Amino acid sequence: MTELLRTEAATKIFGGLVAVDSVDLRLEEGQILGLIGPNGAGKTTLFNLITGFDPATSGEVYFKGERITHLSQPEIVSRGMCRTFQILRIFRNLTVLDNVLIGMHTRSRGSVLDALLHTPSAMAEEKRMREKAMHYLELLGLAEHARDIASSLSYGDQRRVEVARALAAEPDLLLLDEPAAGMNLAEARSLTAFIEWIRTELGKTILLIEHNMRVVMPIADHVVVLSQGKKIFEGTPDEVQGSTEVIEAYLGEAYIRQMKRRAAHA
Amino acid sequence: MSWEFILQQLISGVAIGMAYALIAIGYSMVYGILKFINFGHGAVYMVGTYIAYFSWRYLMDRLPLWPSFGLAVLIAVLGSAIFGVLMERVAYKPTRGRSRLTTFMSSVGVSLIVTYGMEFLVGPEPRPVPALFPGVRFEVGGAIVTGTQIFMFFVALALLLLLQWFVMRTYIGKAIRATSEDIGAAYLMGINIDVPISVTFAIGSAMGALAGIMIGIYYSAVYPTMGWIAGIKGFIAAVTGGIGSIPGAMLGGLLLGMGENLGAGFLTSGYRDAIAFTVLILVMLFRPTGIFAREQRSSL
Amino acid sequence: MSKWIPRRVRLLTLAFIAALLLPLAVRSPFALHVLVLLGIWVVLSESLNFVTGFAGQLALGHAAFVTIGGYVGSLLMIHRGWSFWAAILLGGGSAFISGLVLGVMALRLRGDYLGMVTLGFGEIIRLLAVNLVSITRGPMGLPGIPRPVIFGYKFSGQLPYYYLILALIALTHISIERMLFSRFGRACLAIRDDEVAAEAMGVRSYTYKVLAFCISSGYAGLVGVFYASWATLFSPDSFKLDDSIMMSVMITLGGIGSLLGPIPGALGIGALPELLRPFTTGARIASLRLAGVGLVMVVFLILRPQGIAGMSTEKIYISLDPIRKLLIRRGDSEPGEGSP
Repeated sequence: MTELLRTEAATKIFGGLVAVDSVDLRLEEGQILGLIGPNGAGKTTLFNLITGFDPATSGEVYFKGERITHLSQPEIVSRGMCRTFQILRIFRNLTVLDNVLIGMHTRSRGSVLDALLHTPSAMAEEKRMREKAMHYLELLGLAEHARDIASSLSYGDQRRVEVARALAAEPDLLLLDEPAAGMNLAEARSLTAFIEWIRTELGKTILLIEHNMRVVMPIADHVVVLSQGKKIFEGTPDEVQGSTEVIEAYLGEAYIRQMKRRAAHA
Repeated sequence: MSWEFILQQLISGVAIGMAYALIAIGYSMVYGILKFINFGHGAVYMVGTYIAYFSWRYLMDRLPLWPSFGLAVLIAVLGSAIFGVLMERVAYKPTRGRSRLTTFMSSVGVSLIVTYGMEFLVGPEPRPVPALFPGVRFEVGGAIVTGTQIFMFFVALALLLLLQWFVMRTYIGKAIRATSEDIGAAYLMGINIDVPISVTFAIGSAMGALAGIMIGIYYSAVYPTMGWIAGIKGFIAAVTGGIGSIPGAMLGGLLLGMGENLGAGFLTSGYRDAIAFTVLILVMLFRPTGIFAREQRSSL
Repeated sequence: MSKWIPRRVRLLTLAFIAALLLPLAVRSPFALHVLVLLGIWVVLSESLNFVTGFAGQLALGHAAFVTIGGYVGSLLMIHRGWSFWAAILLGGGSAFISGLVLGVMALRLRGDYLGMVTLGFGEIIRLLAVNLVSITRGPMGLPGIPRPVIFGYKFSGQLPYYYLILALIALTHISIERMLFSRFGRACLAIRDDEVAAEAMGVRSYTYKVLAFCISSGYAGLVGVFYASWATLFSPDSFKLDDSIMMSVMITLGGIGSLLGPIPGALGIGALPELLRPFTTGARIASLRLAGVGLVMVVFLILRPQGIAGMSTEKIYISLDPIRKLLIRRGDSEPGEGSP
């Protein structure tokens, strides 16, 4: 399998705080990689480094073999990577359709001049874009809301708009930041199936931050565990679930010791 | 081009620069606490100056020079402080939750109302201001220093030091710093944020009025639109030195004052104001957070 | 096949036709003079609204671009004998390029800082105009600007200027609409809504902001040349900081970011001196007008940030509702692909 994404010793330091500490990550085409870890572990910050949201303090990021470490977000998006945000960042005052159309920005053409002159090619391109955007909305079950202002939708629908928007960018690598946040059991299950579907039917590679193990474990090929900025473990979902380091990271050393003491006394 | 000439320009620059520093304080402190550029500051500066002017004119015939001046200054300081607080309550507090831009535009509106309201009331013609130190001048290294300039420098310096002490050592000063640091946290800690905010506006306005009085005496004139340009220069001084910083305001003021005078000395004086704006653009281009940057931010 | 025409377009077309016919009812040169002036404000407000309302960039130096265009056009007409039509194109072009220069420098700054820098730029331009006496004749200005000639007919009186400004208004509005409802316009709106998210979706926000800025400056330049020819005199006082702020108030009143807003905003504020006339003598009217303008600004910002033509929303920048409302009808389909 070909390597799609690689980070080497990626590090981000904010003032005195080392948010991401020399993390090596490797993602192959067609994989779903789960990035887990307690809160504050640096998962989103790592996302930010990879996508160009925040420049890395040191270390390198490679995408499709190309060094993208200090490229800007638009440059990275046009190379085939797109993300969603942990805290929803859709365009609240635009229509749902417009949100998706923006997602398609890097996959479409159209200059100011075309807009002014209404050239036939520009008009045809606009038509093509709208049809494609509607297609993505239908995929996410949002077609009926196309003309609604994004902020008027329910939270769950807004999250789906964000996913539709990211898909519209036709990325080879999709980064999802806690897509299951706030979802109940049924929704999470449906999301899990959907993510798997994106991988198999749309042929995308996915890097996924999630707290909800019911979403990550069933579909992830590989899991990386971060704690306090460092990578403390990586492996298959089964290996991760069995690892004491991971359990310690989530529950805390003191708790583990307490559990062991209780087990010893029992 | 001689050393005396340059020295002269620098001396004038220092004097006027200290006045700019006092104006800059108003912008700096308000920006620090409410995070917006108070475009109305210039107007308050003008109002304070006019209060002093009319008070002094009235008292001059009834009291000797210095007591009448002192009392006029006192009245102006109080009046401008009250005015500043009122301005905040009426025009800025209602927009507090909204974007900075909204409040900024509101301040632009306030500036218009106050400046042109004043112009409507008293007329646009400049009024002459009597001199405070007639004929007092010293010679230093070939350049002349007037009594007014010395007065400006030391009074402004004293005020800045006093303010620094106030902000660092008093309880209200701490409250102001806390609210500037994180307004939400300050609120949650039980600080009634209206108080530090009002005090900030009061101090900034009073400083502005004092600066206006100095400048009015220095140029022997007051006129309704004096706040426009002085205000903008005060802003430029604040930004150059680092907005939110009191030493920064002083440094920025001095740099601007001296730079302006030197530049105007070598080019035509018509370009004097243009120098200030060029400084602004240069600072914004190369070091938007200012010299004593309090916070390093990638996008200002 | 019936093509659905949005309500907005119907409204504007009617208003335009009414404006075309207006001189039949209004004959006095003074009234026409005022109307031309209002027309100028409309074009300026529309262009400012494009950069401030749609791209979200506060520009307080708009008058500077009018000045630049005005001087370039005037000098070309006076010293090089260029025709008005060639001069107006170059005036617009020079303003566009000036916008590029300023934009490239300033558009990495945030909101209020950008406002101050553009304000500073405006003042620099004014001071240059006053001090470069060899070129601009300083405060005395450039007199004797020739009137436009079209197909052998030379403009005289107010009427031809009136129709010319109407044409300019139509050109401005239609072109702005076309740009707005395009990939470019969408990108600008996204930048205004959430610049970082727009970048995360691949929009090079800096490029688009600069482009929007240049375009709006270009329109201002066109106005400058028009004004120069109309007033036959152009000086540094023709368009100053006060006017830049006036335009900001106009779009605030109309509703920043609303499609139709600039028009009532410009007409309302522009007509203010006439409305104030009964209350005060001519000498102080300028002061009262400006104070009144400030008052309008503050009142609207506090009580109705969405302006006249905006819809009910919270923050000043959420005024895209009018676009939606005027675009969409319950049950109807969207107007054609592209042109409304």
